[in-house]
Amino acid sequence: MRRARVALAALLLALVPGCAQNAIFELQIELPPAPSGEEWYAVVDARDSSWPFDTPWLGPGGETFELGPSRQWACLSVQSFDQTLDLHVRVQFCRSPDCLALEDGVLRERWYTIEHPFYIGRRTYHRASIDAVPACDAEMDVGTSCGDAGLCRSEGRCGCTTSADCGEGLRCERVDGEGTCLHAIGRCSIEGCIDGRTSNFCSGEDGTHYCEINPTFERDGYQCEMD
Amino acid sequence: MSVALPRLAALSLLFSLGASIGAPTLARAQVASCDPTEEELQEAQALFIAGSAAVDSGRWADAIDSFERSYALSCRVAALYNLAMALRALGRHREARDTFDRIVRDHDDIPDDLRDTIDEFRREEAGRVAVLELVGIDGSLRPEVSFDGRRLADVAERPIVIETDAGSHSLVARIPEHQPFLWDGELSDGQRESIAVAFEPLPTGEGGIDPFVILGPILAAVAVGVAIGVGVYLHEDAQIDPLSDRLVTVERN
Repeated sequence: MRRARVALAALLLALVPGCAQNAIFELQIELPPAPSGEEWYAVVDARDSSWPFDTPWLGPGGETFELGPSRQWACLSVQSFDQTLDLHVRVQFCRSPDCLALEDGVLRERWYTIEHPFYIGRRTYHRASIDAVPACDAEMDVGTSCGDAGLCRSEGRCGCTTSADCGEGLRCERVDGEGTCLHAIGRCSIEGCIDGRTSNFCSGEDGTHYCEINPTFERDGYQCEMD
Repeated sequence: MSVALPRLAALSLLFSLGASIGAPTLARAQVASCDPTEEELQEAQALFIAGSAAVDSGRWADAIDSFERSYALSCRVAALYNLAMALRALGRHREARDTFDRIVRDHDDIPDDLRDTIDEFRREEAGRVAVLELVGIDGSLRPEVSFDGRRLADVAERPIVIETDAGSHSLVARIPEHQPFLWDGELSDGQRESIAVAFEPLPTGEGGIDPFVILGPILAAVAVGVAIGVGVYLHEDAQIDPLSDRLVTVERN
């Protein structure tokens, strides 16, 4: 009898790790087409928000997508076991898959901060769209608009000096005098756990995300083809 | 999602009425307070074009935002019509119906053929609105009703009728000193579902033997057995599977 009780206890203990659930955040970024006749790649890297944007991110990470003649969705499933994490995402546009071509010396990036994307045991979504590769002609286009990526700088990158240079709702994040337009995505823009309107995923009463109120529903906003 | 028909319709309208943005003589709102400046019209036009581009690439939610803002600035019927079509494409039939109603109500100078088209779409959309009917609630009660996490305004009518769209929905109704009434379910396009709402008083704990004293050990034994059986399955299945084959695991730095 004692042996049976020990076996049962061991079995129950073995089941406990099954309850340590993950959270999946389906990040979908609509990438721009490659400028005509040119080979371009987008490298999408997502890290926890303690990774600063002002230094290159070392270590493994970064998913490479080759830009095509038309817009395409880059989809990344970001998993975490810690739902308190916020995310930093950088999308680097390069002329070679490893971002080591000569032309890749000029950083052409889009930055995103994403607040509270994870809810344990839940799947959440966000979609972002990048209108154009944030690159410009260093001789011809200086000072002209790069859309919401800022203004064309002398070195052929799109950047900013103040938030007014960026698109609506974006802010200029300055690092060593060079500014990059930053998209700050709030927790209420994280899709999940509610059906209906797409503009806000928090309760209007107290600002609580619907994943915290009613975990029954998910909104399926997935843009990428399933395997 | 089946979007081909509404998308074509929206685009065809874009071509037939797109010129109305900025053209003050055609299909302008009859709303007296709407008198956009030249700058507002230009912004409305840009938003209209952005909305149409979003339709073209299937980004209906973005299109809705653009058309809403374009209409708010310009009061032009083309923007409102495309908004209705985008809502229709997204399966937001209740809002699409209401938007078609709004076109007819606020724009009395739209061409007859367009009015006929709108009437037809409006009928279609009205037929697709799902309705949840809460019956059995005494007229003297004022329950607090939350539908899909949103609290409904106090409704005095009986039965309480909730219009919504197809999909999964949840409802919670509460009155004081009673257990909440919970409902979860799926509604399809045009479905009318009646739910009998009954409120059970909260247990007072007085009198008799708590049945859990007797049933508790039995239930516990059954639960352990089920837990062992199901737990083995759950052990593998507890994780949320990624939808993309590109999976990144994020940990605290």
